[in-house]
Amino acid sequence: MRTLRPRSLTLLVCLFLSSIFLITSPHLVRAQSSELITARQDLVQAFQAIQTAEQLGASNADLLPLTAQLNTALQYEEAADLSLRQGNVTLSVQYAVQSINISTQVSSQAQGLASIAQTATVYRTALSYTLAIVLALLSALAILEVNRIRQLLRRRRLLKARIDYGGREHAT
Amino acid sequence: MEVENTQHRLALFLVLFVSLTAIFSSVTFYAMSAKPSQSFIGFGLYSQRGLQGYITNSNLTVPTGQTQNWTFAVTNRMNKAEFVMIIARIGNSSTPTPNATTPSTTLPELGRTDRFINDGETSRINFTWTIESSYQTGQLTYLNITFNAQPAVSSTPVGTMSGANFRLIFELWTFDPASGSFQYGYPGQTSQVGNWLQVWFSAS
Repeated sequence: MRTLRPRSLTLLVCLFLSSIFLITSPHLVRAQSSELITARQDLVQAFQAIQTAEQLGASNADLLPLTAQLNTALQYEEAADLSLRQGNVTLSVQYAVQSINISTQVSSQAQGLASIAQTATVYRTALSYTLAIVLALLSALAILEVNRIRQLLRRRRLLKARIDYGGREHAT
Repeated sequence: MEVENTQHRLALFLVLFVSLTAIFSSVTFYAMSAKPSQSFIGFGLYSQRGLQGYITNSNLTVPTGQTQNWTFAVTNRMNKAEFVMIIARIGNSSTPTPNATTPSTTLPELGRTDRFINDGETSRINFTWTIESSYQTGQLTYLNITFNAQPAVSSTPVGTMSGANFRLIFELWTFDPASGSFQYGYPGQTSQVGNWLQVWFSAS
């Protein structure tokens, strides 16, 4: 019995320590895969921001670099997923964080482009309809005053024409 | 008399102005509106060595252990950026294939790859696949295939006699922001339009 006590104590300590690791490691894995989930969510949000910018009139040329960046973020996210499956949690977190950073950047750039495109679209629309109204006004005036305009042109033509003094010689 | 004349002219001017405003505004609206177009996503597959397996009984023989380097070409003409995913599956001559509305979810999935594609862009997506090994159960031959260096997947329950007449099936899926998930095909005018490819091969 005396020889068993230290052994049983050692055994108990070992069991206690291993149970601590068993309890903490799933939490650690769950925390890391939540970053992977965040990376995926951010990818989708960035994609939706790009689609919104497109709907508001942002050009393809402006959006192409953002799409390329988003594909880079996607590659990091896939690498994070693969690392997690292989049990490399640290590397998975690094890749996930890189993906999140890029996606966040793309989202903010897309929102900026959307704002600029929306303003430009409103300005272009207002200008176009204003021009249409001004053109309608000028056309209505032109149609109404067409006779006066003809008379004006005739008078200018007469004023510009050379006066022929040959008639005086005949008179005298 | 002059007052009447002025009033008459003013009325005429207003009628002309309103009519012409309506006409010019209509022309402006038409000029600024997006022209109607048929949206679609083009989906193709090619290999530098040439693909021969578009029809059954073809001569495409894939040796075990040899990595195949193929490329998807996906053209986006949806008038907006798309998030596409391609799912690779394996089938044989008797398994059901996808169609215009339904994918073949009963077939084993070998792997998947996804990509963001801008409107008007053609994206080339490289991928590799390898027959790692084959085994026989009864009279049928089954394969273990890796897709894009992911862990090998068995073709079970899909097997063939002597390893001939297998087919790789590639389904195109697109991300639907409303549901937050991928949907088979791409959104058409009334419903999703399925888009898929197949390549027949024999394992040696």
